[in-house]
Amino acid sequence: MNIVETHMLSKRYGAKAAVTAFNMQVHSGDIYGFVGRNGAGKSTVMKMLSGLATPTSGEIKLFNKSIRHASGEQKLGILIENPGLYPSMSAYDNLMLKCLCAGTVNPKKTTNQLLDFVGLANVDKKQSKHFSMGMKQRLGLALALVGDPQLLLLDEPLNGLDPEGVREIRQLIIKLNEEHGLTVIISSHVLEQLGKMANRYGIIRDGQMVCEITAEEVTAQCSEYLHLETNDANKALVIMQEKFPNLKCIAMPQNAIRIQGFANAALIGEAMSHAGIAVSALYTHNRDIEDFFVEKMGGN
Amino acid sequence: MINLLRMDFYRLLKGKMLMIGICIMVAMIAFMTGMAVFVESEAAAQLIADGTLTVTTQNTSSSDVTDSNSSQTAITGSDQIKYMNASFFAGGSTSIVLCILATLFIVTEFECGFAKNVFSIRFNRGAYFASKVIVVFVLTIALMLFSIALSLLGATICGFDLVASPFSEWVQWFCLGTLVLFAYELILIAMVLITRNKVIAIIAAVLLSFGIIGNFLTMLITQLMPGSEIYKGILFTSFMAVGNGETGIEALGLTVILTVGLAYALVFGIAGFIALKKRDVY
Ligand SMILES: Nc1ncnc2c1ncn2[C@@H]1O[C@H](COP(=O)(O)OP(=O)(O)OP(=O)(O)O)[C@@H](O)[C@H]1O
Ligand SMILES: [Mg+2]
Repeated sequence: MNIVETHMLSKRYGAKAAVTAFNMQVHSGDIYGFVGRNGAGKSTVMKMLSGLATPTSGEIKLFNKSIRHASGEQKLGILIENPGLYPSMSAYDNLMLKCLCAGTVNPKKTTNQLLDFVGLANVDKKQSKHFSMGMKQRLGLALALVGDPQLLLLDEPLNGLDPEGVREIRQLIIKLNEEHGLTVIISSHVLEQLGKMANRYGIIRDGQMVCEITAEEVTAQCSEYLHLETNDANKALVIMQEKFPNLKCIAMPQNAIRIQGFANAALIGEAMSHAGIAVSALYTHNRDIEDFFVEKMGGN
Repeated sequence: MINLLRMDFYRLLKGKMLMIGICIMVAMIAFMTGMAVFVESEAAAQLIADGTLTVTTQNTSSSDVTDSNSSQTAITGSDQIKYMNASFFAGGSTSIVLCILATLFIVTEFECGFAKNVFSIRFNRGAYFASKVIVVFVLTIALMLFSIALSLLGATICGFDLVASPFSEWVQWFCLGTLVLFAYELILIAMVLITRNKVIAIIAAVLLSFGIIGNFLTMLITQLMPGSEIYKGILFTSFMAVGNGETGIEALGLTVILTVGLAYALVFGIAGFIALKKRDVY
């Protein structure tokens, strides 16, 4: 089932088109990595999904319902751009306010549980303006979790966290996804961090969806070619052409051959040894995942 | 909407804003009362010097005596509403504190970004607007009552012998006062929802509640169009009229004050609501 679905979504700021004809599909249970360069339109999309910004045109469906006719409480938690905290209030009071707003049955209990969950149980009466960046992000995440959301929209939630904090928050997100079944859309510049969580990706470029792709497809697309090194490259090439006419082979310096296409390394190795060619290296060359994304995002 | 109201009142009571506002009001009313004591003793000294009043006089004739003098100077013998106006309404503490409080209360939610947390779970902004208007209305009534109680308490402590105003006069004055202040607050709410800017909102609140804009407009009208009745349409005129109590209300006319107050409340209420509906939240 699709939790989020957009159809030809567009947003203009004056003459500037921030998002154009944007189509997105997030399935139930996804951790959806949302990537794009600065200014590509990630935050704008998230603001439209969460009802903060009105689309110029197009359609948004959350939980299979158009948000145009949304009424009542949404099962949606957000952390977009900044956590949105009352600076002179404590973590507890900030959470209490959101609980009251969401009509949580037992606000005090929920507040304490959430403080515990994000590791802020012992900040007491400290005003949130005196929090470190990481503490603010944690409180922001706790706020997003008020009201038992089924969908989390997290915009750069790992910003400002130290490596340990990044790991903790990542584990919290995975836990929410696996144990509580939350669907999560998460944007981040740090692809490496997303790679440890996301099972699907959406790549946005200049306000348009470049592609939506599963984590497996990314791995497949990045395992680019076989690298073969032998003592006799010319003979090896002839053997390759004989036995594997469908594969494209390119001679490289230092007796190396690059084999493209759906090649089976085991069969190739066997063919080489059968022909008496000594193989010194045979491995799948993986393209850097980051390169893959950067290229799709329109980087250089 | 009940949930939103619970959230707003929690913030009002937990935050420091209201406490600070109340402290300022207490200080200003104490100051006004102190001034009144001073004025009273000056006036008494004046009257004694004129030979129209003996020091021990505390009877019916004293009201005649004060009437014959400028009504501003003597307090003993003046009625309660007149006293109220001199000490807090036209004196300004209630209106200033209310205007700034209402403005800050709403603008901080946008300024700090907490509004995002609210709107993302309730896409319908009508309830949000309604709850803010209700909070501000309740706040207006509560602080009006508070300052009335405090002013009268101060008067009693200082031994001013005020003539009790009839209940119906109290009700009329209270309702009109609430209406005019509420209209002011709706102008400011609209300002906040249109600009979403704390600095602009506070400047607007100060300019309005200190009567700077009102005085300026009045001056402009009297200069450019002498004799014109347009000044009656300014909210400030109604504010001053109510601030002058029964005499002021009679002079301007009850209907004028009601019409002007309601018109401003309605126009700016609608403007604020549209701005809230249309503008994106960041
Ligand atoms: N309120 C606004 N007014 C005008 N233009 C805006 C506004 N918000 C965003 N934009 C423009 O829309 C485009 C998309 O911005 P957006 O914030 O969605 O990008 P982003 O992908 O979130 O970038 P980043 O990675 O830097 O957060 C940008 O070109 C930006 O300048
Ligand atoms: Mg962004």
